Amino acid sequence: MTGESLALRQSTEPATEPAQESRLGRLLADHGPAYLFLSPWLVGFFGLTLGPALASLYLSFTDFDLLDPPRWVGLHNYLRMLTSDARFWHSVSVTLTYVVLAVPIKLCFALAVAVAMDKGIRALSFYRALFYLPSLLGASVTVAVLWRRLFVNDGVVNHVLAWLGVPAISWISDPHTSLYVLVTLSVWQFGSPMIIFLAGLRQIPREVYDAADVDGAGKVQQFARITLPLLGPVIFFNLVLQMIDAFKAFTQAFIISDGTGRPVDSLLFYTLYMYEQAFTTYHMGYASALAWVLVIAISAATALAFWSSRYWVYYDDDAR
Amino acid sequence: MGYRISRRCFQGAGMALLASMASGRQPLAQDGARKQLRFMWWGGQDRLRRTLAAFAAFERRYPGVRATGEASANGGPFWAKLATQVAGGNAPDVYQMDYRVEAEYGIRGAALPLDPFMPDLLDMRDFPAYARDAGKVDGKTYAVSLGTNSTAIFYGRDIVAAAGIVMPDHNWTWDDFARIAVEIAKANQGKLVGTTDFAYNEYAYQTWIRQRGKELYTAEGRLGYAAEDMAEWLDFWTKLRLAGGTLAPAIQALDKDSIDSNGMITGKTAMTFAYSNQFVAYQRLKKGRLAITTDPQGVVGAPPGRYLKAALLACVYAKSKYHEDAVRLIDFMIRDPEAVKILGVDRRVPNSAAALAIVLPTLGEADRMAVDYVRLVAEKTSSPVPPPPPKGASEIWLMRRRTVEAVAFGMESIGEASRAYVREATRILDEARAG
Repeated sequence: MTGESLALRQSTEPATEPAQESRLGRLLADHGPAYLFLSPWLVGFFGLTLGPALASLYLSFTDFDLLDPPRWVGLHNYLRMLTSDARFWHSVSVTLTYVVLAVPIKLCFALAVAVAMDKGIRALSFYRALFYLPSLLGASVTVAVLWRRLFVNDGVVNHVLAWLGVPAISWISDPHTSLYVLVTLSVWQFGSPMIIFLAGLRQIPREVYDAADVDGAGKVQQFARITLPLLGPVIFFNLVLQMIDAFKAFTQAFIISDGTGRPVDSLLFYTLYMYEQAFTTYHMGYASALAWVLVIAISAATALAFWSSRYWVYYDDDAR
Repeated sequence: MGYRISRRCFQGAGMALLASMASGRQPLAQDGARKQLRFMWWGGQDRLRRTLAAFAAFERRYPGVRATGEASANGGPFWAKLATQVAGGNAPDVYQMDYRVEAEYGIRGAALPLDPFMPDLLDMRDFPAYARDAGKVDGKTYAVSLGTNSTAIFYGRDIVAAAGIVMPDHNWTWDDFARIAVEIAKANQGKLVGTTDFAYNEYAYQTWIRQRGKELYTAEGRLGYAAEDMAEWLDFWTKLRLAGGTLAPAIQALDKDSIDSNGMITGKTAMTFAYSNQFVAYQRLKKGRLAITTDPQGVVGAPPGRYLKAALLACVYAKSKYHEDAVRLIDFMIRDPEAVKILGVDRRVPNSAAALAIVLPTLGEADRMAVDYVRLVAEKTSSPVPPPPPKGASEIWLMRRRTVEAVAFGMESIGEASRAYVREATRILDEARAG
């Protein structure tokens, strides 16, 4: 909207505006209102995002503990993390396991549902809304609490399993299974990638399938040779988004494990470890360093995904 | 042309909007003249009700001061909030404090030394010595004990009786405790076990370790015990678990260290470790009558280990604008007859003898049992108050549960886990002393 009106103004103004007006004045006159209306966002961005982020970069080189003034310690925090903090590496492994499991399973599930819905179900918009619902509730505290109730020793899941003759264990409080409960929770929230997949499926021209039918290609072949390749950009988009999300997973683990990563650190997600260092043991400097390592890790993983996309994502326009 | 005018209107409207945002926060005129005191504490609904009622009484007494408060959940949320506010320079004027964390705040200058206000504004002269000393770090008073409690065992009277067990008196030992736990489990055929697994609780361990003549922390802020002590403690619990006397690890892990998730409250055990002041809350949540007794004793002739603890204290924020009023508020809470009656024993048994005399007649049965228990401990079976926990103690507290659970789930051997625990605890303390 703003861009459009500015363009309009630029094309009509020069003739009417007095020539002696200064450059700055003109700049203000041209863009002033835009910045005025952007100002709440600008204040938020500089005051609440960029400023604190830079402050945390500085703090990551200090031993700040919230109560005493920070003291410069150079690279100590980063070195300690890499060389002598076993829990750091443990939290990395928990988070990577979660990313590697939750993201693909969730995407496959979302794609399967999207394909099923694309086959022309009646009352599509109703089902679409219904399946999207869990994602709306997704990061909320209530759902995590509910999930905890489902998977405790006398929870619903065990009642169902008992009918099937599976012995009851407390899924959520056993360090061997607790992470998988969180993966399930994540997969259950497949709504948003599903909606995007569904939109992507709608973009694929019907004629291509018709032609494949005529050529005698089966459904599986059509899916593998037509749907998947043409859906490439959408899959890629979903992959990047979900991956970043999974790296940042916090709320569910925080609620289910009581903010401690219990039992035995099996739910010690990276973000949870960061939280613990910052707000429970007051190692704010160290936590800041952890935060920056996470930023770097997510950027690297995203860059890797973009680089790899050259080999498996097919864009329709041959310009690429 | 029309386009330009509409844009100006728009601009004007935007300006007006910004201006209104800027002026939106105006202090209420009538409060402007009054001094605002803020108190932050952790605790439940009952404490909230009592505290706010006491504040109302305070405001009636001192009309120039307005006392407000905010309650927070116990544990992580409270400390995260308080530390952040201290870092931001806007902590509450008065805040509740835990004995375990006190040193960290006192030493770092977040808490105001209170000695200059005593005894005119803050009178603790009729406190027992241990209660006065509880607020001291390096000889200076940084905190005021709001009440006293001690460690204890709670048990379901009917459950124990139904199992045909006669509970020994307060001189029972850890061996008695283990034997009874197993007997209860046998009598209930697995539907119920004897006790919650409180190996993770540092205060329970503290009683046990002090019965062996050691301390959690020395006065110099070092670890007061060795890996072998930790190993023996873990071994006691492993044996009890194998004998069926305590909960399976995956069930115990559901305990969030809160009353409502405690194994005895959820109906899985007959006994649990707790703090005497929690007796009322446990009784309220539990069907059937509860009883309270000492946490077990060591071998014959060993010191009792447990002590009279100032678990809840209050500090004045060093940067508060109203030091005197903040101190006055604390004094009001510990001594004023009206306030004392309102607050009851919610924040433990009052330290002031005069206050206790006012409170006693107002108490219900469960409250009275808790008060009687603290008296029993005071008269018969308490050790001196241990040295205050050093900086870093809260981090070690967190590590204990991790270690205990790793052993219970069979992920680490007792020896390996104990050595790693002591090594890491030593590193935390060394670093804290250096920093």
